Amino acid sequence: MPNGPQYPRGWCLPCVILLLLLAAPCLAFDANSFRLSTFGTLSLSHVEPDDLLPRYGYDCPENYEGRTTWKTHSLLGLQIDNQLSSTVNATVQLILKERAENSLSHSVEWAFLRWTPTNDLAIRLGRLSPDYYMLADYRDISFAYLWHHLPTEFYGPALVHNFNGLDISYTFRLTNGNLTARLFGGNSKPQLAASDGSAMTLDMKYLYGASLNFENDSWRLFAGFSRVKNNSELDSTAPLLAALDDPNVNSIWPQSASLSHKALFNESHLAFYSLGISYDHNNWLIQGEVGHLHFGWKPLASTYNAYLSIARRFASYTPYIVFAMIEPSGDTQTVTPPPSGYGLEPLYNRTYALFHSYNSDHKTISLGLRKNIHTNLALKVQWDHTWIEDDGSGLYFVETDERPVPSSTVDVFSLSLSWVFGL
Amino acid sequence: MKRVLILVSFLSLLGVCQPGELQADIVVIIHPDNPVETLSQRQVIDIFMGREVRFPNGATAIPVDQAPNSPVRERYYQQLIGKSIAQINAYWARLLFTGRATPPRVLGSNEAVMDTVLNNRDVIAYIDRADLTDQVKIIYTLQDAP
Repeated sequence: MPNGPQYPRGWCLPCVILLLLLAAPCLAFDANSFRLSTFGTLSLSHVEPDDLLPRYGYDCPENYEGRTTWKTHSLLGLQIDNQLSSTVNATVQLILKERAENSLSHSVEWAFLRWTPTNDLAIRLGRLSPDYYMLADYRDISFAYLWHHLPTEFYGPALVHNFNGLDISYTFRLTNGNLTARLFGGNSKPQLAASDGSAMTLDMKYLYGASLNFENDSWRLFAGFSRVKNNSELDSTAPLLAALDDPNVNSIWPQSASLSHKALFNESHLAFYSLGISYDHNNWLIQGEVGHLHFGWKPLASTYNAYLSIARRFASYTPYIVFAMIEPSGDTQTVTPPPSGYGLEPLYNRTYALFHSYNSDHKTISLGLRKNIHTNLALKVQWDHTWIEDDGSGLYFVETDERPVPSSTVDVFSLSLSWVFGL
Repeated sequence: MKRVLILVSFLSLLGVCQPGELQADIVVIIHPDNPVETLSQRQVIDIFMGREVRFPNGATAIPVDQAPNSPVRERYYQQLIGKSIAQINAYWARLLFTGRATPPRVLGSNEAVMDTVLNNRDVIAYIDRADLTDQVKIIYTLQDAP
């Protein structure tokens, strides 16, 4: 049977996004109570060398073609807002992007009803965003922020993108700006992507958090936190944990039972804390955040992370520099080798890999330029240079068998177009 | 005096000294029956940036915008808050796509702006003074920087 035409693998999504970009002005629609808005990004990134490929988040699948990817940051978003009454409106936002596992449920970023009984009070119910970081709830809206991508050291480990639940916010009208306090709670099902292309949906319960946001024409000050409990076990670790719990193994390797207990994902907690500041005045843009991630799951060490960005506008051009870092906030779990001669080396190697593969310890300096081509279209170029410490490549797809993963440097060159329609 | 005029004319021809493009002020307008008499710059900014949804008397304020690429829109936001339309769009992209607020409704022409103001006493809009009719009430005036 003759084969049909062969298209280069990996071009489908960028082509769809490019076509939809051209159609986006027609898609945007604005009637008295109904608004259809779109946003998107078309991106290209090239990595040097090719044995450590940045993943930018635990939900990001391995979608590199050699050292290059069109898919990692490319996406298309569509939002429908409908004003149902003078105090109630409904919002649905869909995001089309490359995921480890695509489904309508994963594509629905937000879907909620908002009730504003007074000028200052808003209550939302449905699928919402947990804004525990300053940009956590618009990380996919590239046109709304300066850089090609959010600092990986800060936003990469933030795996909870949305939750099903409720939030309440109240705005205090102060002399020099508005202060908004927000409480939120619900359940979340974030997706984890493995390097082999498989995906797992986590079941996270009892998510709750709060944020304070002060904002005026020039300043934005932010404080946020969130905590969530894992309510599922990782399928990928189950065989390993069963082997570590084997009484025969315990008798030879006493630490194995303790390691198995520490590797239980179910019932472990994650907590995110952050402080952020942003200044935008007289063409200077300065922004930074510091954060702490507490992981109750021992294979993933808790971390401190931070970034600082400085930029200057020159008409439609804005060059910028970003410094970002993430490092473990405590010692990583020590895995003592078992006695030799019992054939437990493979089990030890898998256990060592579990406790050392997910940690992140690196620093990045980024240089970039944003050019506003049009009032709703921006071109961005960015170069990232990252120094990764030994076994600190948890936010990278590791294409080498060398363990522990040695310290290394990675360069990423990125280019993107981002846009919004319907404003 | 004659020498000065000649010099200015010469420099104008070279593009060094423009006699000055006369641009009318931009005025912020509401329905004549709306009881609000005046707003401060801060109050106008808060309403058009989505931070305030009511007039000082508690009545609902519905801001409307001029066409996306109209010169009056660019001048309005530059003079009001010192930001370009691209910056304003980035600001609204953050609020709209996080479900926090919706930007002012966009109208395509001065006629549409005037009609909307005259048909709804909650609407607040802006227009070049040259395009103004005396049917609406002016509550704030933005003047071109000298």
